[in-house]
Amino acid sequence: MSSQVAAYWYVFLKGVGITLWISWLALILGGAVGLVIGLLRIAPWAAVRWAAIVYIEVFRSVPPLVLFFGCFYGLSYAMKLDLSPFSAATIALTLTASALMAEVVRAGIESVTRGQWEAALSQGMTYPQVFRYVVWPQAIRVMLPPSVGVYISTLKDSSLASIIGYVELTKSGLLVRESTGISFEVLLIIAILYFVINYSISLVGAALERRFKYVH
Amino acid sequence: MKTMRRSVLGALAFGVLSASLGWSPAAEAQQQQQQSVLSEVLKRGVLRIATIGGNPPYSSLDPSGKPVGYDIDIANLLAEQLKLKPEFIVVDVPGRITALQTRRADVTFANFTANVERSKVIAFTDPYVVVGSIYMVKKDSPIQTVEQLNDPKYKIGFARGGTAEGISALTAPKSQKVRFDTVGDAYLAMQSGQVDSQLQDSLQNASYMAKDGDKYRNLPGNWSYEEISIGLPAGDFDWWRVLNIFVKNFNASGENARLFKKWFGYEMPAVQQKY
Amino acid sequence: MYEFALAGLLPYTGPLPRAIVLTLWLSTLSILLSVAVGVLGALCRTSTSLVLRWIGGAYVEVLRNIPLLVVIYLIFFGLAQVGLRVDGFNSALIALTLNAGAYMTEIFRGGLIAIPRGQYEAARSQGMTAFQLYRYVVFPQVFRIIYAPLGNLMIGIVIGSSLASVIGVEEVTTWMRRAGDETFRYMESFLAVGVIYVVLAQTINIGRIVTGRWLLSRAPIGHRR
Repeated sequence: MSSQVAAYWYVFLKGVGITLWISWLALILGGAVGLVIGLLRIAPWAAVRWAAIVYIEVFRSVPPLVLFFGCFYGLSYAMKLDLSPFSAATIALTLTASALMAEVVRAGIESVTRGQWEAALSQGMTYPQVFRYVVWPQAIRVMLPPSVGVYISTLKDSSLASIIGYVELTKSGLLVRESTGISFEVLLIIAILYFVINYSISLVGAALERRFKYVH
Repeated sequence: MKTMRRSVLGALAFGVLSASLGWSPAAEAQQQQQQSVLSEVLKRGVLRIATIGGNPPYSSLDPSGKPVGYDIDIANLLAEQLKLKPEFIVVDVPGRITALQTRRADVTFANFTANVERSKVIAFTDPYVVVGSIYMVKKDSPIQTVEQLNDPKYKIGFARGGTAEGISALTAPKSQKVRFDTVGDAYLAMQSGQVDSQLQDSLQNASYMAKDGDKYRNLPGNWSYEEISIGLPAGDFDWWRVLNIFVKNFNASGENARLFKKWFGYEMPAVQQKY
Repeated sequence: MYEFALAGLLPYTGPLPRAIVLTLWLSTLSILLSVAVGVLGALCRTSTSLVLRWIGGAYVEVLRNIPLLVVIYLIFFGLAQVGLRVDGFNSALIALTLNAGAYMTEIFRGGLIAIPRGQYEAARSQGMTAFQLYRYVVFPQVFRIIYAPLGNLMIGIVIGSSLASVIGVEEVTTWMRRAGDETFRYMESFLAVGVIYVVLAQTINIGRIVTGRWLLSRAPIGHRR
């Protein structure tokens, strides 16, 4: 690494922190929204199910980059909202992540067989009790490994926030590139940093998956 | 049991529905619109300034994300005179207009050319600097004139949403246009040979030439006369009045000449007006 | 109050068909090339050679963990700086192919390893040629396993093609940005382009569902899923 680029190590470090933070935030928010949508997706009423399907299909069909623009420019014009790049990026990432999470939630809950529902209900448990004590503990095991995948995907999508001027890891790198005029090396450093972060997360995910397999 | 289950899901559905219906801040924002920015900023104590990143030496972000440059220093001076805390909002080139229209920013200092088209939706003060437009190529490029550049085999790079769009369409309509997010990206693209020429602001061009004059060459001709001005939301006379007095004093006091020298490295060129 | 007016975009619809064609062309080429890369990668990853397996694995892990945007920048700006100049469209095509190729590799590998070794041996002992083995035994089974993730990945490629807009390729997302910039009808151009992407993605999605039904209708007895 040339010393010219190395002098900016703290900028890269800060970028890594911000990238981890915004993607984590989007994962939590997307998880919460995804949980609701995922539950609606398996609701007993066709109209609600279809609404959830439309939500999921729309937000996995529209490119995150287009969503970033829609939130940053579209919303601020249409609703006269005072959206910072941070809020616009968080909303866009949450929408994308929630569509992915909804499918994860659905798969998790559907992995618990009908028979268990019926057995628990016939034991006199209420619907929320069945959900809380029978279905959820099993579903979350099925849901955890793919959630790690959603986190990695969200983390990668967060690089698009650089386009609307949010200074995360990619944008930090582009700024260093502008200051030093060194393209290849700086971009390579960003790529390596993303790889290290995401690969570590995927290793944690694989470990989780193994652990939950043993419990089964 | 079944009714319980329904009610849980029903409540969830209702929550989502009411959240989406209740979320309409438009009316509130409209009310704000009636107030002058002047009284708003004085009350707030903060001046929100929109600027563009990646546009040195006017404004660029230093690697920690902090805006620096000629435009930034002027904005700081304005905030200082108004006794307000400056707060910078970094936007892209087309985002300057958006930021003012949506009142996300009170004012722009962003290498912003005043023209009639933009004046339909936002307002400008008197200019603080005047620039032109110049085509720059690599030193060893076969292109000698803009007439030669006007050929489908050549690519011209510039930042989207700026005046370069219209100027390139007029002066070299046949060539390919490659639009980038920042002036810096367009410069890097020319540096690495991804485009054959970059259409530039003449002062920016002078700074690039001062730094890397051995690598580049300008094509003859200056293709525009652009008055770089402070942008503000339309229809706000009080705010315009304050900003215009600021510009006039800034130009007359010699402060402008000083800041220009600081960032561009040479004296501000005298403008030859032709009427 | 904001007045929603799609008509505001009308003067700007001229370049739209070309932009859609470019998005389709970029996506289609990327899909075809990444299938080729994926098949190759999967053969590497299931090969008996340790080196090939390692190369295949490294390729998949590296490309799956780096954002597509960074790969595009790296190819367009980075490679040009070290003397390898690839124009905007081809940079996007290469980046998309490399990125999707990694996922394709995993999909095809999943399909290949699902087929028990015994079937290969049985087919050979029946005197089948390699072509017959793959055409009649391996491919029909692999296809059943991979068509669903393949459909999802194809949608991912169409979505990913939107990133070509950052290096000046005049596809649909670029059109949205320019139309918005020039007319200030950002919400309308966003919704219009959103609809275009939904239609493209759902066409693939419906194709996937129809394929699934068709496979089910001719499923052998005892076939899973």
